[in-house]
Amino acid sequence: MKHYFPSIIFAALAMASVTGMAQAAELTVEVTGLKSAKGKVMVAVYDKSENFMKQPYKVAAVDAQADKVKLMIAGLPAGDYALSVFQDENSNGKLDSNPLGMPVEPYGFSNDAAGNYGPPSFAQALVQVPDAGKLISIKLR
Amino acid sequence: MDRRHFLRGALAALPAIVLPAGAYADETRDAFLANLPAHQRLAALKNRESDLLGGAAVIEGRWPAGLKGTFYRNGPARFELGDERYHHWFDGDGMVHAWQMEHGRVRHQAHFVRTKKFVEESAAGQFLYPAFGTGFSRRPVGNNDTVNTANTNAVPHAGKLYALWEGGSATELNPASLATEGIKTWRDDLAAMPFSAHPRISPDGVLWNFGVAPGANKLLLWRIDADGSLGKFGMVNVPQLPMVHDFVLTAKYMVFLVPPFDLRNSPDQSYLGSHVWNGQRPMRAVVVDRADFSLRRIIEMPAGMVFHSGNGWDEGNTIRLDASMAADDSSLRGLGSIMRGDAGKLQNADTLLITLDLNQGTARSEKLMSVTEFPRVSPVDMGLRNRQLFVTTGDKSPEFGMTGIASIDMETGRHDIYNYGQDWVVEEHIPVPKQGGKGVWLLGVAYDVKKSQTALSVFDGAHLAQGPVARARLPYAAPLCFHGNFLAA
Repeated sequence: MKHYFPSIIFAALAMASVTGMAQAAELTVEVTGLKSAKGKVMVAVYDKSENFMKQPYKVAAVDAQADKVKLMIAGLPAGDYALSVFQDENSNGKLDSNPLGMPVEPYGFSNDAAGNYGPPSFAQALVQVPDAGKLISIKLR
Repeated sequence: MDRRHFLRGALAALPAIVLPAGAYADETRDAFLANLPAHQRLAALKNRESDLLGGAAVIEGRWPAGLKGTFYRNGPARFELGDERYHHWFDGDGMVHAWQMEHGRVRHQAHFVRTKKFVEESAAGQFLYPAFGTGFSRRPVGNNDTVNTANTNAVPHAGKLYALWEGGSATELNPASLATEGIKTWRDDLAAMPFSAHPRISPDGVLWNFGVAPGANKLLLWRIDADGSLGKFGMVNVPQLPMVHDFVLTAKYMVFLVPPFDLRNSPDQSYLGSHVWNGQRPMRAVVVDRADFSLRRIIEMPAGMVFHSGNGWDEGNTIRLDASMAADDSSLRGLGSIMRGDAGKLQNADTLLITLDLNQGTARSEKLMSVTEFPRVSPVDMGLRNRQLFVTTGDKSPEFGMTGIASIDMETGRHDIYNYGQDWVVEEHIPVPKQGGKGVWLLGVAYDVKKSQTALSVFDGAHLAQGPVARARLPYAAPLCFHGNFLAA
């Protein structure tokens, strides 16, 4: 059974800055479906299919709130990206899964993409970010 | 003419564009309604929309004074939402029933389990997630508990009541009100680990269970101690492990009969669709030592499909167990066809006594009775040699549902049979020890097709052929259930 997230990447995330240089597009990510205000919402942005779920291009985090949170990811060159999100409810820096590899904390992907017994593909989660920036919404499941 | 057929007729002449979304009826639902007049027994599988509260039963005969307590039952009851009907009986959302017996009176109530899935789909007004045999995928699945219907068994243990499914967590209910309290997590790191619908409770009050996540090739093993806390959890690697529905507990072992399914990626993402029967492969009896959850032996047997076993016991290094065995998985598929009102594809299972020789690694079986299902033994016999095995019985017609009950004497092979007849759909019947410890009552629900009513009957376990001692008849039809258990007052 495939694992959903490379936990080591999020473990290294800690408190990444969510604002960057203003020279490129700004991606606003609205994360909905939070059932608690526990922990942080962690976002990873991937720019290449071969790096998907392995090596994020940018990462961001924000304190969880009931219902929904919003993050701004600045400094993205216009282009194609895929995002993965999870709520680190117990603040241990990773998406917890049970011994069968099933995620047990809320998570989601851009396009609300779904895989078949595993994470979706880069293409399924792909969003196009133009120079003018973009707002996307991801629902935690 | 029902409302939707009227709509279809009236709107047929209008341009399609004026049809509101959802005005077209669902094909499965249409076929079910069209076939019902010819197959009245299938009326037991009508959709249910709301809870059933406070049904007082009319007692025929005299209810045994010592038989006091609650008979909990569980089964799928919501098959339709937003004009769509599920494609398989196992798909429906669970409804837990309580038959309460006190002062010679019997009351019935039944509540939908408010699973995450039930609540979300109710709010959306339509099915959102893939089910056992139907591949809706309108919202992504987080993990297996996203699609947990809690629809298979109701098990009281250590003061708690659990609604069980086989692919995910137990759901805890209030034993008095049946209100849903939520997902049960036995230990934080074991969240969402499958906890099957067929636990066994040994006479010392310990609950034993297993779980399977098809594709993971791991058999999960659970021991819940008599105080309700997690006693032990384990995992055993078993190659090519598909769905396994039930198991047998002996004094030393847990035995799993693994049918020969190959697993494939299903185009519709349904659980059933990923299971492909392969009769060229053997059935396997996987024997696990219950003391340390280690794998003792895997014994191969001829291919066969088993849902249920009643009991098993040890004789030295030999295990004896009963199983309801069918030749292949056609009944599993047939329990989908009935949702369209097609009852012609059901195949019978027979009760076998299987002997496993752990030293030689061999298995043999002998038939105890034909056309049977839902084997149960008295809770005092669990894991020990049982003299009596109780089953439901049918005739060889392909019509849906069982029509009688029997006890099988495991020593003489004698059958004691009571035939309800073709006008009844007979559900699982369970033995309940009589007060004073000698003999059992046999307690079971059946649906009266002619009167469209549900009744709970009680038999003397030693004299089934004499007919029920008493019957508690409801003024309405309650949804069919799969399994249940009795909690003495």
